[in-house]
Amino acid sequence: MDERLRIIIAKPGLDGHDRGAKVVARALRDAGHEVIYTGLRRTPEEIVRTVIDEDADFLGLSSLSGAHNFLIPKIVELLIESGCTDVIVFAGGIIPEQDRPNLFSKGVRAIFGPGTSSAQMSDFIDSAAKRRLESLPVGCGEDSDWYWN
Amino acid sequence: MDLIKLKKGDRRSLSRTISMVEKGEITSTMIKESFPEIKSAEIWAITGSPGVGKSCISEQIISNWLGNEQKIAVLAVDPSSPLSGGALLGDRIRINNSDNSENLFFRSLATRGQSGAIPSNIGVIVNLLSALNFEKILIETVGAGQAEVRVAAIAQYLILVEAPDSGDMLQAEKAGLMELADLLLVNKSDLERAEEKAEQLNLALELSNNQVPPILMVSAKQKTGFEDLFFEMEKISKSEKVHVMKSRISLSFAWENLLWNHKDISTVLEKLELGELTIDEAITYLKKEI
Repeated sequence: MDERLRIIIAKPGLDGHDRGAKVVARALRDAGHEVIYTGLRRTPEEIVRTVIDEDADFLGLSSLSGAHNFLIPKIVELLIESGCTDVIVFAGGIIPEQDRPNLFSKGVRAIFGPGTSSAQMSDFIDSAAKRRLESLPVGCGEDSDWYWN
Repeated sequence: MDLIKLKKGDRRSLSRTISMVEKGEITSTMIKESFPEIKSAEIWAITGSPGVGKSCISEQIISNWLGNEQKIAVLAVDPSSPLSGGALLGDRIRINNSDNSENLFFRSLATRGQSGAIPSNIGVIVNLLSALNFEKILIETVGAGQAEVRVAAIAQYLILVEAPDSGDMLQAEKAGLMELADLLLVNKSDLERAEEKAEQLNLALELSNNQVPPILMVSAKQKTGFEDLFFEMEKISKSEKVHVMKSRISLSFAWENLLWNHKDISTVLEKLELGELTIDEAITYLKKEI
């Protein structure tokens, strides 16, 4: 597999804060990946279209507005509907501990909060990419309870 | 390459196929064989120095085309990092309509190790999109310098964007990309000295023997001047034109592609770095295999 992955960093919903998303995009670029940043206030449909056109391996969703319980499962659902079951989804921002199990069960493979280092992020990307290489289920629509922690 | 799905217009097959082209797994010949009756799309490129407003202008052009219900593809290029090989592809941020139309296919591309403003395989991607009946293709290059003429080998029509205060009169006198442009845009016309810039460009071009292309003033910020731009674009696309320089550039670009897609290129580079080969020896070796 090509080591260079295509990763989309997206900002769903009405959340207007993207410092974190930009730092993550930059860190992943420095780790040697091709990172596409969508910009602010994208709808789930727009994000899925971007994933398709860009042939993304990973989709990172940044949410600080509290709408993660609605938006993230919606995006995963649309990805599966469009046949993007192999795309690996992770999330970041302000996502309280009690909300996480539900998101993991919907196919999200990592959730990063404040204080995450770029090394942790890279570790997740590498672990998930390795699973895919070994044909283990890791995509958002593939049946597995694996998530990075 | 899943031809059946591709021909049906499946977006994911298209984007997957583009990735394969990027990796060098699909060549122009393969596309020609799969699609014997390739139609020709109208291919535009937009180029200019970093920060002159290429993306914001692209956004307006895309809107205009979408309004005409045409099937459009956009290839937005950003540079790969020479250090990590990674890239931050950020054109979608400024092109707000990049993801909300069924008629628009939008792909960000990294230059991937090429020194120029477009990746080496972009010509193959353009052929693929033409074969799939896209009517218009817009290539937005990396913020490019005066010598970046290779994009003229791929695009039929070239828009060069300038901005006020981007150098003095002498910059406009310098040759290069400017001589190949079909349309010159001075963006940020809301700023002082925009008119002066347009005047300088006009003067510089008038002195040459070639026909002076239209020089238009636009402001992407205030969204002014675009009606004139769309009108000129329409006119240019209907005119017959031949660029004398074009075949020369096409040939050198194709030649460069052969070089970078050479099966032994990484070994040769390694040997050059270690001093085991001289440049001349490397050329002789690579020539034998091409």
